[in-house]
Amino acid sequence: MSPVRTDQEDLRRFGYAQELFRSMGGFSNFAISFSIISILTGAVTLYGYGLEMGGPLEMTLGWPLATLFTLTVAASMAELCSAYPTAGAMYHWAADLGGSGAGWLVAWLNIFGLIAAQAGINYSCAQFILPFLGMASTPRNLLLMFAFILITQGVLNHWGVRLVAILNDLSVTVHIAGVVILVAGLLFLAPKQPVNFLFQPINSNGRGFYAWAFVLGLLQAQWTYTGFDASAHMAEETEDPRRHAPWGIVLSVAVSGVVGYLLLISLTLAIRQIPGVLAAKDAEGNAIPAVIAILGTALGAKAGNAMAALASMAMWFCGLSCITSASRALFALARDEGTPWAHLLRAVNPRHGTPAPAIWSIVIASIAAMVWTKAVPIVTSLSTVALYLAYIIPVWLGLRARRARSAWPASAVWNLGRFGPAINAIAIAFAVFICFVLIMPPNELAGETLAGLLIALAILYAVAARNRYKGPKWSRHEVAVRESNV
Amino acid sequence: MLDEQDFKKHADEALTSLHRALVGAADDYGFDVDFNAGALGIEFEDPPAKFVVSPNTPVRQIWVSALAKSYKLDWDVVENAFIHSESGDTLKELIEKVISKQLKEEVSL
Repeated sequence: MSPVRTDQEDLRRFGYAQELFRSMGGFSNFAISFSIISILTGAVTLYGYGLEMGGPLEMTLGWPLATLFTLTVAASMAELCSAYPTAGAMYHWAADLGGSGAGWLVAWLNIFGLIAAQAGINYSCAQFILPFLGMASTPRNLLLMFAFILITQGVLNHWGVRLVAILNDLSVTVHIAGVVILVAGLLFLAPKQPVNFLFQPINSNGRGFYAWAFVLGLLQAQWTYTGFDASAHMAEETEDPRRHAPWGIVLSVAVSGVVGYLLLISLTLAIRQIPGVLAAKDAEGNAIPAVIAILGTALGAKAGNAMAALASMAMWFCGLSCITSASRALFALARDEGTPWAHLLRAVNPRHGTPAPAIWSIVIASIAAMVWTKAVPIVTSLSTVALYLAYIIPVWLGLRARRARSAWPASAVWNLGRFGPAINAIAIAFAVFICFVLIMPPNELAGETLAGLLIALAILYAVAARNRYKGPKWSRHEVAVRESNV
Repeated sequence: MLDEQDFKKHADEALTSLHRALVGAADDYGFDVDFNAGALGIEFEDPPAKFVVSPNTPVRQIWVSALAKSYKLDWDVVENAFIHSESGDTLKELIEKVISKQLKEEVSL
């Protein structure tokens, strides 16, 4: 049997036909998550926050710490993904291990988290692109550019996963080549701070207690490390997904960790003085992102502009892949009749093998969210905390089931062996801690938005979904099998 | 693969005929039969157990859960019936076997 036939047989065990076009190799599966994590985007938009909170030590110590802990979350997810290689990803893991209600909740946290992440990144992308075109950053222009970016990404997603995969492979090259050039430029051409500068714990916004400022600064890394569930959502389009998708999840975090560290350390060494970087303004008095300011003074204004251009490209790739990932999450839930208009939303374009109605629903939902709320911070604040809840609920259910001697770990080809329970426990403790930090001041808006979302979901579930949605058919069959004999 | 309409027709016929046979035998052997939302349930009181037979359209299979096992039956063009490939049983033969095992007596439908 050809490898793709074997993958199809494997999918049939879950009761699903091969409707999506399976063509991705291991590298492309890694590339999609790597593009969504997008260290270039994260570095440019979040470096200033981390520097303000914890100073150079935030980069030197905070980033690797956050990376290691995020790897425990990624590895725990990878193992579950190997046991359940379906487009539903966390939704299916939670539904099988915790019941249809848990699955439904995780699915919507995942979908809203991805829509929010994608809307935030594309809005930043629009903010970066407008000045390049010489257009004023008026709300109207921003919204039009935002919609235009989304439509380009929607069309490419509609046309095919192969095209998206090629663009993501290119995105990996752009990211890595971009970072190598920047690092080389900074290390060889720019004046540098002595190495002991890297270990200075400096808080620049008047927080008396440095340890807490440092913890808040970890969010720089945590906001960057989101969206690596994309590798799991692509399982039905990846060859040998029980191996390739888990590696995609783990390696996207690991490679981003290493490459990101090189970038952050080089940038930090090139800082002339921290207050100047944090207070940088352009000719019109608008704040300049810290990274652009560092590059501008270290290597000249052209280097700053090149970085801005590189970051806009990275953001566009990130938004493109977010739509791919979110559309698979929505498609998988619709396929199990877990959404309104499920029979429409679950359709697959026969020519391109893509979930076209789900793709365009995500595009329209994002534009609508921006038009109606006009409040970017509300939309974006939600993404990381919603996604981490969607990541960690199935890990917790998986650990619980493992303790009850569930058979799921046996079907994970990629597994953590006897270290599984310990790694799961660390991942859960870390995710709970980081979710708490994510909703503390100055980010209390994220907590309020999340509370609103959870209440809305609870009401929707009680009123509309509970009686209609029974969970994935294969999972109900597994339950029926267990209960068929007492 | 069978097209969707053909599968639905065959599955409907197979389940309806199985349902009829089960209802006929239910009183003799002491089990309950229900046919709800396309899924057929067979319930036993002593020892307690519940078997479920349901069609799964996307993969064109009939799925049976019984005796803590999962059985998946594919349409066989030659036999003109749903067949459990590991044992070669038709749907009716498979159900006879699992009910016999459950009740510890020979059951024929």
